[in-house]
Amino acid sequence: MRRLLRLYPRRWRERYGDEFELVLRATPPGAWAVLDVARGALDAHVRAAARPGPALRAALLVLCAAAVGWLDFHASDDVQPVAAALLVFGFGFGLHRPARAWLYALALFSAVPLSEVWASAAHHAYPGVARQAPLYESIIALIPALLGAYAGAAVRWGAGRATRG
Amino acid sequence: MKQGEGIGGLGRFAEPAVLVLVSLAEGPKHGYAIAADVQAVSGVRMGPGTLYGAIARLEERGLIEPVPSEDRRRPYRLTASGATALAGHLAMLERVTAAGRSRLAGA
Repeated sequence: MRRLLRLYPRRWRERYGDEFELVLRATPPGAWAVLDVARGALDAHVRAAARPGPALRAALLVLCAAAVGWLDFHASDDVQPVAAALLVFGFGFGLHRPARAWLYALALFSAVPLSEVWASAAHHAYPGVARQAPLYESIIALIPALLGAYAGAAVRWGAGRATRG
Repeated sequence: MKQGEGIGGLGRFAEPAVLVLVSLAEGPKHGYAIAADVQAVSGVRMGPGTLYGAIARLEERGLIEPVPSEDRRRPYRLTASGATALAGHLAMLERVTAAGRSRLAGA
């Protein structure tokens, strides 16, 4: 029966393993107990997968912001790909953590002015653009980032309210 | 963290969670004592997988919290939001029970 504990995710075992093992030892062995533990382990894995840890979340955020920056750096005068990326990534992060939607929107948006500062420092010529727009104009990118993040947060809040009935 | 989402947000996992909350409403208990109490009060035999699934969800929502202990058997207690959530859920169940009884009586 103790071996069943190995079915659980490592982080879960670190948190609940000791006490869980004591309860497991006191449980009469049998198919019912094995099924109950296997179902609990599956549930713990599903929940762990649905909730990435802070390190993975930060890595994902950096990756998404880098993608926004790359799109902005390689954009011509067409800002739609950058706006679409900000909307989609913002939506995902807002859905994941509605209370921090504003923070994710800001982090994603920051890739745009950073990319433009980089472009200016590197004397990068945007295709089809005669003169680079002033840096302050990049604040407009905050709109799709906030829209996406708060659309995701609204979906999550709406789903929570519907479940509570 | 899902603090403040209450019991309703637990969906199909609400029943074991409510049984754990009812058990802890009496005072702090460790896992084995919760399972024994739940069986005594409701007749429901809660396996370790179900029990710790409920404990993890309730702790994540801030409805229960561990009591500092040197023992491997970590006790848990109800938080203030846990007590409020349980009271609200029991009031809802009372309304449903009353409606069901009254409808059965009239059938």
